[in-house]
Amino acid sequence: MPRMVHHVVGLAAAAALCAPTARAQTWRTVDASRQRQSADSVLHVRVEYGAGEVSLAADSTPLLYDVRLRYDAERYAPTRHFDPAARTLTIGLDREGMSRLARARREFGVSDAERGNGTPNRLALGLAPNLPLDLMLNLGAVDADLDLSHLWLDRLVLRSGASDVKLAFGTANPRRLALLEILGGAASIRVSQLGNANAQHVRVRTGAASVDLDFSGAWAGDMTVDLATALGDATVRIPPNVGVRIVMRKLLGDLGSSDLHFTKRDGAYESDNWPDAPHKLTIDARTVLGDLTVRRTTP
Amino acid sequence: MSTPIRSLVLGLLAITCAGALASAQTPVRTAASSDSLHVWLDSLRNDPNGAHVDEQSLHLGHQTVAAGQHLTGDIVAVRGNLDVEGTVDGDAVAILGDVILHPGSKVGGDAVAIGGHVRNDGGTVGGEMRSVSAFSTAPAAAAPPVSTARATWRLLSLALGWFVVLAVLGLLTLLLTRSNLDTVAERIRADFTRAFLVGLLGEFALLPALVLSLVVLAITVVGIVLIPFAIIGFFLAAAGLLALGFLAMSYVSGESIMERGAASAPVRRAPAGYVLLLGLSLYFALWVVGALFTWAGVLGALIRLAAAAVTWAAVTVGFGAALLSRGGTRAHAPTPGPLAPPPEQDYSWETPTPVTGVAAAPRRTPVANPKDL
Repeated sequence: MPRMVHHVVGLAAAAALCAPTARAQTWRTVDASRQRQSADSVLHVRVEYGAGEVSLAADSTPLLYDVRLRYDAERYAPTRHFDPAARTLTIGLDREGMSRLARARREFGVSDAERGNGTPNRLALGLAPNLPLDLMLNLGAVDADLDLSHLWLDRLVLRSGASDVKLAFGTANPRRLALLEILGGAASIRVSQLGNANAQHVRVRTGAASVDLDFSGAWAGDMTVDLATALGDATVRIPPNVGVRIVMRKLLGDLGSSDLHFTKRDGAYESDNWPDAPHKLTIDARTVLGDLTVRRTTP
Repeated sequence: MSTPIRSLVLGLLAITCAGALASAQTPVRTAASSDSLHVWLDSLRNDPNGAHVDEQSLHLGHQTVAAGQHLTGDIVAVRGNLDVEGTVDGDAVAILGDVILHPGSKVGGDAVAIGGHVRNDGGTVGGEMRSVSAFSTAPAAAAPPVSTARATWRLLSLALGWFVVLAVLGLLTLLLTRSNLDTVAERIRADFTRAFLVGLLGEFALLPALVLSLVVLAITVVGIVLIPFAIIGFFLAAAGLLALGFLAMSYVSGESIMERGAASAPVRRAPAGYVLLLGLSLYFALWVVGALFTWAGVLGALIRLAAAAVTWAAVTVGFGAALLSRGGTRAHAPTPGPLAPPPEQDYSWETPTPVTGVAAAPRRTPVANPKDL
């Protein structure tokens, strides 16, 4: 009899200790994909993602899109919608409304760690290669790894609140990128192989974010960059076969370059190879407190 | 290892395993326990990742759409796999099971697996293929109501927690910055109404003041860098003044209680810490009573409302006094009253001076003609 009592007491104590943990199983996964149709012409993709990790890449399977989402159902609500008529895929992960918040507050006995907050939300988005894309990404506070290799981009707008973003144009974009706009609030944005983007004009605006623009890749034509930074630093990496001309307006920031020689002409700084470079990059830069650093990449 | 400890460890292991097995399927299990197709149907329809299907399309257990078979509507297999070899014009759904699309199969709508996976072995899907770990919306319906005892305990622990925090803060204030607390308390005693009005005004002005500060900082380029520090500093200052004011108000309240007690039975002057804790207890007693009356429904809510009103009034008065005294650094200067008449002088002790016969001034006499001199 005493042994039985011990077992009962032990189980009761264990149950009491585990009660909050058992209640905290709130992680959800959603995998959604759609097969490609022969009539597919263009795909508009809108991503609104608040917090967690985001990855984007071309999908190897014959799918129009492949969304893999993992989220905390106690705090976030996923939205995903495909409009076949407008050819628009909308993906979002927003914080839940007041009803869920109220429910969470009722359960304030459960700590954040028990809710599984140590594991971030994750979105893995695969998009069809060889299909014209209009991509708009609004990212809150996320770690984003965006590999645009093998994707056909007509338009790309990236808005980042306080995200660490790695954006790579791994292969040459066969479409003319009509609009490439990067807006960063805080944290950092690193863009590599921008030469592959096939963009005529790039617009970059940052607040306190640092931005690193690497212009290596297969250039299809000349490019202009409209760069405005407030507090963050900007680094521009130029391949050897590209001549660069910089018009700089600054308040407290500075223009620095360790491995390029510039000549000031007509209020602009021109690299030595500017007159005879096969490709030309014109940068119109405005900085407040941040510095602009220009570096030459090795071939 | 002793028996109770072994039991505890074994119990923990057992429950951990059970929790791991439950994984993310909690809402599904909840729905399953009701064992009603209506529950499944509601969950499926309300879930943003679910599907809008007909009630007649739900079937318990494993389902198969055979090759050559053509379904014009939807099909839902509950607690079983759905094998599609033929054609489904609508949605093909499996709850707690997989949707298996065999070669040559066709689904006109969506292929959805809740608590399972969609496996496409060569079928064609006109809509979307979705694999969802569990219903998202079920927990809302399944969330158990909070019991009265639990609600009481939560309110009690909240009140006691705040009491302990403020008591510790108050004792530290007495220990480290006693003069500030005394000055604010003096303000409250001297000008209660003015302190309340200033506190009210201060509470309303908090947000505009913050916004104004930020705008001023943003206008100057260098000031932008200071904005985060300004926000933190502003909130710390506001919280500090509110806390100091409330503690001073508690102190004054404690003093008042002590004085009332002393009127009937004279006692020694109590230590400041005791007075402060007494005042704090007065305010938190209301919250405790409100918590204890949780079972009473509206009455409990009214008591808590009264507690909130009293606490707010105390905080407002204290905040106003803290503002007036610049955080207890400026002592109260009493307003000068009407001039009192000078005290009547008593000359009785002086030796009487004879007035009669004493010339107060030289007597005027006719001046002689200078020529006569």
